[in-house]
Amino acid sequence: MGLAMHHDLARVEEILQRYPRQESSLVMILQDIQRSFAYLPCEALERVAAALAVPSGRVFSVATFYKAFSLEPQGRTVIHVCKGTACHVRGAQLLEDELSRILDVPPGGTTPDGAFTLRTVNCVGACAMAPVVVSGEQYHGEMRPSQLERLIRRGRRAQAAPGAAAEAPPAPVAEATAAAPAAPAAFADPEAVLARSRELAALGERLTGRILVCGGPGCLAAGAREVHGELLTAAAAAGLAVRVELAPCDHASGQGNGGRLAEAPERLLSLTGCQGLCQQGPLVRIEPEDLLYTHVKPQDAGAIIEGVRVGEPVSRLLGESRGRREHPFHAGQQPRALAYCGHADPESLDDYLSRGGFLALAQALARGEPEVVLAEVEASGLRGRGGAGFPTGRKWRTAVRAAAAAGVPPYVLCNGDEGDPGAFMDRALMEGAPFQVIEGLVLGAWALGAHEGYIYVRAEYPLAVERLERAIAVCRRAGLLGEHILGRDFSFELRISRGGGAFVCGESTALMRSLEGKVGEPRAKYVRSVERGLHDRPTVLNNVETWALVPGIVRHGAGWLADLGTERSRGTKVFSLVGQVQRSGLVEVPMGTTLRQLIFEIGGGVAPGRIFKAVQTGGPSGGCLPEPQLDLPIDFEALDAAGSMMGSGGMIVMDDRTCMVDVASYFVDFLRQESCGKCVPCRLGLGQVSELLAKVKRGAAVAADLAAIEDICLGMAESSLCGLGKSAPNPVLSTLRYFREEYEAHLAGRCPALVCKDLIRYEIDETCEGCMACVKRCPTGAISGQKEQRHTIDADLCTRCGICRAVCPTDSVVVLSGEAT
Amino acid sequence: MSGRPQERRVASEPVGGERVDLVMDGRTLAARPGETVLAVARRAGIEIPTLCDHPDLEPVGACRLCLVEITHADWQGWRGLVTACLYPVSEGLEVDTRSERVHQARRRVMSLLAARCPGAPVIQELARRHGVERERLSISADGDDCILCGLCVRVCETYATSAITTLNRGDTKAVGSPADRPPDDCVGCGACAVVCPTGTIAAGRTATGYEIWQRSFATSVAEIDGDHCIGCGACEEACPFHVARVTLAPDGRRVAIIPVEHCRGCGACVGACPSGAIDQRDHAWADLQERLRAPGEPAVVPAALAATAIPSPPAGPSAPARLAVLACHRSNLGAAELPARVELFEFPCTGRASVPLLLSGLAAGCGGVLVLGRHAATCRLGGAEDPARERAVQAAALAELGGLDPDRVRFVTPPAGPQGPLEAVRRFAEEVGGGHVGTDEGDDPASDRTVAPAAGVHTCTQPARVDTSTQRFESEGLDTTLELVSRLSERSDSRVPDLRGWLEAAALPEARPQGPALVAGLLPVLSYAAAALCRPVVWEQIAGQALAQLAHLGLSGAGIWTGGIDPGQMLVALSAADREALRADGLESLLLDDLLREKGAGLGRPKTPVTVACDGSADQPALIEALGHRPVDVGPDPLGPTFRMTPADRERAEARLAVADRAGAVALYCAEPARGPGARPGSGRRSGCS
Repeated sequence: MGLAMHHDLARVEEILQRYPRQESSLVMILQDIQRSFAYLPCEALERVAAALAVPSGRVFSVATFYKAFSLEPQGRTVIHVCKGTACHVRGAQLLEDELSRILDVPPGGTTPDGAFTLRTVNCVGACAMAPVVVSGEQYHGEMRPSQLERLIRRGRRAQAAPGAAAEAPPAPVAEATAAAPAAPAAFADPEAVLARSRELAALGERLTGRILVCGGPGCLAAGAREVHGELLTAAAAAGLAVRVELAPCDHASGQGNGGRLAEAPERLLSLTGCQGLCQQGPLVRIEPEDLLYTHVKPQDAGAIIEGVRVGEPVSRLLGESRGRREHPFHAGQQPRALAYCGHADPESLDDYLSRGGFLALAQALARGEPEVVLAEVEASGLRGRGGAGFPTGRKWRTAVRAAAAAGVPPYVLCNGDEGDPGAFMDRALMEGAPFQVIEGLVLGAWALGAHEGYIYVRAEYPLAVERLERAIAVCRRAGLLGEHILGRDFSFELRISRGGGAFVCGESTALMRSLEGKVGEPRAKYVRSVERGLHDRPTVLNNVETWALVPGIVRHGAGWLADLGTERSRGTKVFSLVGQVQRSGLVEVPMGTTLRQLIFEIGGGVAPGRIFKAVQTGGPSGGCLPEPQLDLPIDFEALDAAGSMMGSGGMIVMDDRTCMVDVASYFVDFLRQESCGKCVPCRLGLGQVSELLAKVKRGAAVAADLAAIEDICLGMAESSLCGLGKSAPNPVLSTLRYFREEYEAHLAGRCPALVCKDLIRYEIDETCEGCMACVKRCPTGAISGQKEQRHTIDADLCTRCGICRAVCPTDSVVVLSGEAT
Repeated sequence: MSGRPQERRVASEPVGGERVDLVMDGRTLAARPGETVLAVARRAGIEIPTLCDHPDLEPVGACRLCLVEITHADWQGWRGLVTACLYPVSEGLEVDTRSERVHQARRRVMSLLAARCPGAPVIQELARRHGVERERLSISADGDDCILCGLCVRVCETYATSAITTLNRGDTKAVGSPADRPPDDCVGCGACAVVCPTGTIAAGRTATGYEIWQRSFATSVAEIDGDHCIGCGACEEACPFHVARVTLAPDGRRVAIIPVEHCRGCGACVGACPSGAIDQRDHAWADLQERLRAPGEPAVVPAALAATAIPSPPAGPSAPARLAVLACHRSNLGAAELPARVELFEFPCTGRASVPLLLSGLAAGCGGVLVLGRHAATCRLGGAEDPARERAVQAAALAELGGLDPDRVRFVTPPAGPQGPLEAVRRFAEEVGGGHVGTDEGDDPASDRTVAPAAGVHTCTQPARVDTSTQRFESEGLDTTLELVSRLSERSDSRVPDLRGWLEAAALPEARPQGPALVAGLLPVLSYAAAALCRPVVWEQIAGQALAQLAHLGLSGAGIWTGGIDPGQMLVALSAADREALRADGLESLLLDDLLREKGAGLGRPKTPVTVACDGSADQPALIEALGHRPVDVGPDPLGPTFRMTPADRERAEARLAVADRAGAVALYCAEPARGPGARPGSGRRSGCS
C-alpha cells in the first residue's frame, strides 16, 4: 500500500502541473484526480491542499460537495442509473431498485469484490433514449428491469477477459487538445476570414452530396459512431468516392485543394451534431436527395451506400416520411440556435466557415465598433435562454457601465451546467456547434470589452468538454481567439471549466463560486453579478443557447430573431421534448407556439391508447401543466403565470402512467440532494416536504398533511436564499393546484397511475395459461404455480418490479390499486 | 472584505459625510450608505431575531430569521422579503420588520428549526416566542442540534485555522473535520463551541486538558510559587473563571492558590502578578527570556561604554530589527511566512502578556514588541486578553519614560480573516522593524560607524546633529539623550508632577495594592531595559514611585537599589521628601556620562550635596563624588536582575537600606547589579562585586 501510494502521489504531482497553483484550479484538479484514481484518496487531497495553499478543510468541503467526486474507492465498473425526469417517468426507479437487488448493494455502494459500483446520475442528457443506464462508458438506452441481469453478467465477463483490468485511465483533455487537427495559420484580418469562407462554400457546392450521420446525444447512445464507421468501410468497399473532411489541408494559407475535388465528385460523410429526432436514432440523412433513415444499425451501412450509389432510397429504413423537409417533426420548427447543429461536422472549423461561421465576428471587427454589436443584441429583444429570461442587451449594457465604473474589464461566462434533468439542448449545442458558441462568446467579449471568459460545462458531458477544448485550440491557432484576434487590438482568452456535478451550480452566483474553486453555494443577489461577480469583477453570464444566438443576430441583424416570437418574448426557443411522447427529440420553435402544437403536432402526442396527463417544463424549478393549459403560448410570462416556468427548455410529457404525486416527490427528492444546504427553508423544508410526500405515497397521509406541505412550500418560496430554493416548491404547488384529486386518491389509499409501490399490488388474472415464464423470471420468487395452471403472486414477497408483467406472453399480470379484490 | 466585521461593530449614527434616510417601522432613521438593514435596526433598538449573525463575522444570510419586508416609493408597489443582515440600505427605503408577512415567514422558518433541534433550548424558546407549531413535521431524533448556521466554520476560517468545514451538501450537509478524523489543524481555541447558538459542539475541560473535535489539548495551567507570592490578589482579580483566589496560609500569610484541575490555562493571572510568583506551564518566564534573547546575538554594548575609554566592539553591518510577536494560538502564525527576524510567542491567550514581559522584549534587543488580540467575543477563555491591551499601554508609557519610542510596544487587534494576524505583523514590521537599525547619517564615514548588535539599539559615538522632530530617539545617540533629559524634566513638572498623577497619566492602576506593586516589580526590568538600550535617563519619577511601592512592601528607607545598571548609567533614587527638597535645590538630573565627557556642562549641579548610598565598589564613590554628592558604602546590591523578590531578598534589602539610612544617605546609587543568569559580559569597568 505504501509503495502504491508513493506511486499514486506522483500522479497527483503530474496533475498539479497542469493547472496554475491557485484556488480556482481546485475543482479541475480534483476532477483529474478522480478520473485518474477513480476516487479521491485522502492523501491526494492533503497534497492538493498543500500545493494550492488552501486549508485542507476547504478541499474536503469541495470534494464532498460535488457529486462527481467520491472519497471511497470505486468498483472496476461504475454503473450509473440516469435519474433524469424523462428516465424517471419511464421507470428509472425500477432499474435502480433492481440493480441494487442484483448487486446487493445500496445505491452509491460498491460490491464487496470491487467489481461494480452502483451510482445514480442526475441526467446524462440522453433523455430521448430513456431510461438510460451507463455501464462504464457505455450507454444503454430504453432499458427494462428484465435486461439488467444480462447487463451485469456481460460486465462480469468483460472484467474477467484478459487485459480488461489494465484499462488505462482516459487521456486527459489537455493531451487530446495537443492532437487536434492540422494547425491552420492564423487569419491576419477579417478579410481573410471572408475570403476563406467564400472559398470553402464554393468547395462545398462542388460536392456531389452529403451523408450526415447524426452524432447527437441520443444517437450516440444508440450507436451512431459505429454506423458512421461502417458507412465509411462500406463506401470504400463499394468504390463510392467519400471524404470525411471538407478541405483536408492547411486552409488558412488560402491554397485550397479544389482541383482534386473537381476531378472526382465526392460525397462528404460527416458525423454531425444533433439532428433533432433523437428517439428514432441513429439517424442518417442523405443530401441532396433528402432521405432520412431512422433506427439505422451498423449492418445497414452497406444497403445505404448501395442506395446512394444507385440513387435508390432504402425504403425499410425510412421513417414516418421520406425526408426531413416534409417530416411532421420538422414542420413548424424554425431553427435559429440550431441552424448549424445537425448539418455539419461539429469538429471542423472549415465546415463552420463554409456555412458563414465567424463572418459575424469578421464583420464586427471590420467595422471596429463594439457598440454596434451591443446595439444589435439589444434591438433583437434577446432574453436569456437559461430560464429567467432577463433581457440580454440590458445585462450587457449594465456590465459595460459597471466595468467602466470599476475600471476593470468584465468576465464573460457561458453557463453550460445544464443541470435540469430532462434537458439536453445545451449539450447538443456544445457538442454539435462548438464553434457557434465560441463565436458568440468572442462577439460578446468584443462588445463588452472583456479579455477573459469561461465556459462552465457539466462534467457529465465529457464529449462537450472535449469538442469545446478542441475547438478552442483550433480557434486560437486560427487567430480567432487569444492575442490580437484577426489582427485587431482585441485579445480574448477562453477557457473551459468542468463542473463537479452539482445542480445548484447552474445558479449564477453558485457557478461563479464554483469557478473560483469553492463549494457552489449561492449568495444573495443584493449586489448583482454584472456589477460584482466572478472574483468580484463585473461579470456577464449567459446560457449556451443565448450565446449561440449571438452570431446570427450580429450577422443577419436584429430582425433575424426579433421578427419571430411574441411581443415580450422574441425569437425562438429550443426544447428537449421527451418523456411519454411519440417523437421525442430536440426542437426549436418560435416563441408563442402553443404547448399543444409542440406536443401533438411536432411531438406526435402520447402513445396510442394513452391519455395525455401533464407536461412538465422548466426542470425541477418548473411546474406540471394539465391538458386545459395546453393552449398557452410558450413565452416567459405565460408559463410563469400558469405556475410553471420556461426554464432552460426541458419539456417532459407525461401520460396516464405517470403518478403526479410521484413526480412531485421525485423533484423534491432530487432537490433535497441538490440543495446546497446553506439556507434553512430550502434544506430543512425540502426534507420535511419529502417525508410528507413519502407519507402520501404510502397512503398514510391525512388532509392536514397536504396543508402542511403547502405551508412549508409557501415558506420556501418566500424565504429561501436563491432561485433553487425559491422555485423548489413549484412542482409540488403546481401538482397540488392542477392534480389535487390525485393527492386525494392517495389519501384514500389508491394510486390512480399505478405507480406508488405501497399502494399497488400485482395479480395474475384468469387469462393466465400457466407458461411459467414469470415464475422463472421473478427475482424474489414471489410467483408460484404449476405448468398450465394459473399462477399466483405472494404480495408480501413481491417487490413490484414489473418483470413478470414484461415477460408475460398473454398479458395476464394486472396491477391494481385501491379497493380490495 | 477583511475590515468589514470591525466596521459593523461601529454602530454610531453617521455624522457628516454621506448619509441616507430610510423609514423603518414608521421611524425615519439615518444611516451610512451600504450599511445593512440589521445594523441600522440594532442601532435604533429595533429587535430583529438572528441565529447566523455574529458581529465579528461576515454575514451570510443562512438562517433566514432576519427577514424583513421592504419597499420603496419608486418600486410601483412592489414589496419583497429580504434578509436584514445582508440587505444594504438606500435612500428612501421603507422597511417593515414586523408585518404579518414577515411574522409568517419567520414562523415558518422557526417551525422547521424547531423540528430540527428539539434539544436546543435557544431554538425552542425562539420558536415559542414566534408561536410556532410543528405538529405535522417530523421531529429530528438524531440528537444533533446543529442548524448549520455556519458560525463555527466561519469563526474557524476567520480567526483560527480552518480546521473544521462543512461537508457534503443538501440534507446530508454537516459540520465536520476533513475525512472525519480529529482535525490536525485544530488548535483547541474552542471558538467554534463559543459561537455555536445551540451548544451542539461538544467541548470542555477534562482532568488534563481541553477536549474538542475528538482531540485533547493539554492545558497550560498557571502554577504559583508560594515563596514569591505576596498575597496581593491581582491574580484573583484577573482570573476570568474565578479559579485563582487568595487564602490564608497556616502561617497567617496571605497566599494565592490556583487549583490545577480547574485552571483553564489562559495565563491572565500570570500577566497580572506583580511579584512574578505565577508561572505558566509550557510558557515559563525563564524560557521566554531565553527565547527573547536571540541565539548568537552579540552582547549589547552600552553607548556610554563605547563613549568612554572602553574599546568598542568591532563595528558590524547594521542588522534588521528583531521583533517579538505575542499571539494567541489561533492567530495562524505558526505556519505562516513571517517577516524575517520575527520571534513568535504563541500563548493560549495573550492575556499572559505582562508589562515586564513586554519590556524585557525591548531590553533583550527587540526592535518592537507586538501583542495580537484575537476578538475576545469568540474566545473560550473569556476575553482574558483584554488586560493585555492595558498592559501594552502601560509598557509603552514606561518605555517612553525610558526614552524609547512608545510605538514599539503595541497591542493590535488584527483585521478579520485568516490572514489578518499576518497582515498586522507585516504592518508592524514595516513600521517598527522594517528598516535596518543603525544610522547611515553623517558625512564622515568614520563617524558613521554604527554599533548595532541588536534591534533598536543605536550607539553613536560621535554626536551628530539630527532633527529630532522626525527621527526616533533611539537612532540618534547622545544628543537625543540630552534632549530626552530636558524633555523629561519638563514633563516631570507639567505632566508628571507626582506619583498619583503619573499613574493616572500612564493609565496604571493606582489605588489597588497590585498597582504600585506592579510598578515596583517593574523597576529591575526597566533598569535592565535601560541598560540594554544604553539610555542614560532620569529615573526620578520612577524612583519616586518605587519608594512608595517599597513602602507598600514594607521597605521603608531613604533610597532604593535598582539592579541591572551598568557603569555609565546614572540612577539616583530619592525618598519623596528628599526629592522635593533636592528639586528645590535645583537638582533635576544628573548624567555621569556627560560629566565625564564634558557634554553635560549645562546641566544642573546640586547646590547641596547629599549622601548617596552605593555598593562600595572601586569606581562608584568616585562617580558619586564627581556628581557632587557624598558616597556611602552599604554593601552589595540587594536586588537581583529579575523583578522577583523573595522574602529573603526583602530582608536583605531592608538591611541594606537600614545601613544607608543610618549613614544618612538620601539616595542610593546602583551601578553594579548582582550578577545573575542575565549578566552581561563585556564591561571592563565592572567592580567585581558579587
